[in-house]
This record gives sequence, C-alpha cells and structure tokens, in this order.
Amino acid sequence: MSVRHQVPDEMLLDFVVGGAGAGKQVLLSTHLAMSGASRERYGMMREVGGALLEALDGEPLTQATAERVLRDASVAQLETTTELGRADQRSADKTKLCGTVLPPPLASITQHAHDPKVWRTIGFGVKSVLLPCSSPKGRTHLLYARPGVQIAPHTHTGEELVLVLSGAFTDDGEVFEPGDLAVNDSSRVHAPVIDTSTPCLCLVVTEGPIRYTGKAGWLLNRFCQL
Amino acid sequence: MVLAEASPEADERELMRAIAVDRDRAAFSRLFAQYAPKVKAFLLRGGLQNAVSEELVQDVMLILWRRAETYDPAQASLSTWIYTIARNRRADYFRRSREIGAEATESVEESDPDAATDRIIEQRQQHVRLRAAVATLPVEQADVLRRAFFEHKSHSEIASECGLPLGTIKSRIRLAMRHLRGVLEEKDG
Repeated sequence: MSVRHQVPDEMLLDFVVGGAGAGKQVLLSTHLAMSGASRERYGMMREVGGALLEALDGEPLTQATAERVLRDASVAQLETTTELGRADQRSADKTKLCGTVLPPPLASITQHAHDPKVWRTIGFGVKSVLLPCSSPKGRTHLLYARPGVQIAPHTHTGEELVLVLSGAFTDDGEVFEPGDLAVNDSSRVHAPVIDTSTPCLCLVVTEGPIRYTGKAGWLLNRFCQL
Repeated sequence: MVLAEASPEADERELMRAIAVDRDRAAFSRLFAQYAPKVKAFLLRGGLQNAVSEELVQDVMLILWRRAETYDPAQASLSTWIYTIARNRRADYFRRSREIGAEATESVEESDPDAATDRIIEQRQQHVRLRAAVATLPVEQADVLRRAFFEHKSHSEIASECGLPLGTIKSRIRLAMRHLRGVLEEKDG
C-alpha cells in the first residue's frame, strides 16, 4: 500500500538541512521509514545538498590537516568500537505498542509508553502520552483513539503534524492511513473521525494549543488539550 | 558502464574503499584535500567563525575516516554523504537537534549490504544529472535553495531577508523540486 499523504517539499527541505526541531525530526524520520516515495524524495533532496557542496569554492584551511585528523583518530580508536556496539544493539530493539509494531526511529523513545499509568485521558476514548523529544515549540505525543471517536470541531494556534501509525481517520472526506501525514494549522476548523473498526494510533507534534470552536469550546479548551 | 567507471566519482569510491578496507592514509589525504576546504566553505557560509569551522571540519573528516565502511555508494554520492555528516555536526553545534533527533535521522540512512552494482551506477548517474539540473535552476529558486542548505535559516527568515512573503519562498522551493524531479524522471523514462 502506498502512502498517499506525503510530507510537503518545503517541510522535507527543512528536515534535510537540519532545521527541524527534535519532535519533528522523529516524526519525519518515522514517516520516511513508512513511505518509500517520501524516502526517495528525501534522498533526492540530500543529493541536492551534495551537489551544492561540490559546487562550492573551497576555503583554504589554516589549522585542520589530514595528519591532525589521523593523529586524533589513533588516540580515540577505542571509543569508536564501543559506539558501534551500542548502535547495533539499538537497531535490534523492536517494540510493539497498542498492538502496533513501531518503526525504529520511534521504538527507542517510547519505552515508557508501555506503562498504562503514563497515558492521560484527554477526552472520551482518547488518550495521549508525552514523548521525551518534546520541546516548548514542538510538543510531541502519541495519541490513541478508540473506533467511533469524533474529535470535537477545533482549529490550531500553531502548526500540527499528525502521522498515522496504525488504524485510520477521516478528515473532511480525506482518509488518512498508516504512514500518511496530515498537516493542520490555524487556517481551518476540522473534526476528524475514527470511522474504522480498529483503534487509531498517531504521532502528533504541535507548535501551539488546540482551540475548540463549538458551543462547549470554552470547557474543552481547558481540559481537552494534548 | 565502462564510461561510468572511468569517472572522478568511481575514483572517489575506490578511495573510500581503500580507507575502509586498508586504512589507507594516502587515500584519506586525497579526499581531505578534495573535500575539507569545501566543508569549511559550507560552515563559514552558515555563519560560523573561522576557528569553529576548522574544528568542525576536523570532526567531519574524522567521522569520514572512522566510518568509511558505512558509506554505501548505492544510497548516496560521496559529496552527499559528506554533506550529511557536516550538516549533523553543524546541527549538534547549534544544539538545535537533541541527541534523540539526530539518532532518528541516521536510522533512515542505514546502508543496504545487498545493493547491486546496477543500483550504484544508477545512483551515480542520477547524481550527475541532478548536479547539472541544479546548475540550470532559475536564479531565484537556486538562491532560496542555497540559503536553506548553507545558511541554516528557516523559511520565514529567508522570506524576511528577501523582503518576500513566506508563500513565495515555499512556492519557489516546490517549483525547484518539481523541476529537479522532472529532469530525473524524463531521463529515466
């Protein structure tokens, strides 16, 4: 199954040049792990970086030399071996959460989410857990919603990225399935529905709080935040 | 295929293999002479001071020496691999990305030991075409890409520097990428 909703070019570029915050980096890495087409676009954009680097006129070096690098390398040889050992261990580590096998970028930072006590209920049939890659500008959560849940109408005070890990939801007639990325902002009000028979697990990065727009909005704004 | 092998890129691949397999210092010195000054230019354009840039160049080239065996020519050209290392070192320096993010990024780029020679050649040909296509981008699109890749600036920063709306910057990025993708697909078909 191919992923229909891919990361937009400008967001992918920001990721390629290293400009995205930690939460966004984890989310986009996971998206790439799930979407071959996005991975290909990522590869191409990185090649643009390589091509631009190649085209640069070099700056003469005053201190760094090949000999100095090789001298440093022989001193710190031992360190490398341990580093590599750890990397191997990490890639072997796979995790199933809420019945979903998480791709490697996510597995290593969601170990705490196996404890049901860390999940917080934020609405009827909806719960979330904060991830350690969060920052004030990019709060990062796993969001779990039961089948049949309809999120109350709301808009956003900053950009929100939602990556579907398992299950699906429908928003404004568009279906989002595993690997799909939804980008929401303050430009519209929406009310996504989990209209399948399976629960939906998503990775969400938010730049600002949600603003509910319905009659009970004032109440939801206080209690139903990520 | 014979033509493809007699190229500077094939030569670089040979040098990387010599470093990975034979720990060949002379091969390293040649790649250092080729790339270290470019990496320095890249870091200076990102607003780093001379001394810091040289320090990071040293780090980047040390990673190239130590991790040469992880370089996979089927996945990226050597300049792209070096660009990625330089980008990560620069991001570490600015502390924009925390350790978790950096690890996550790397896992996308795991090398594939089963990559066929065909794939390596295809990848290299694509890079050569892409390099040519980047050189023919309209000036305003190339300018936005350079600012994004070299100057470590957000798209809003680029917009305010150019005195343009953010939407214009975004659409230039999309147009540039569409053009580059078009060039690659055209030749593939």
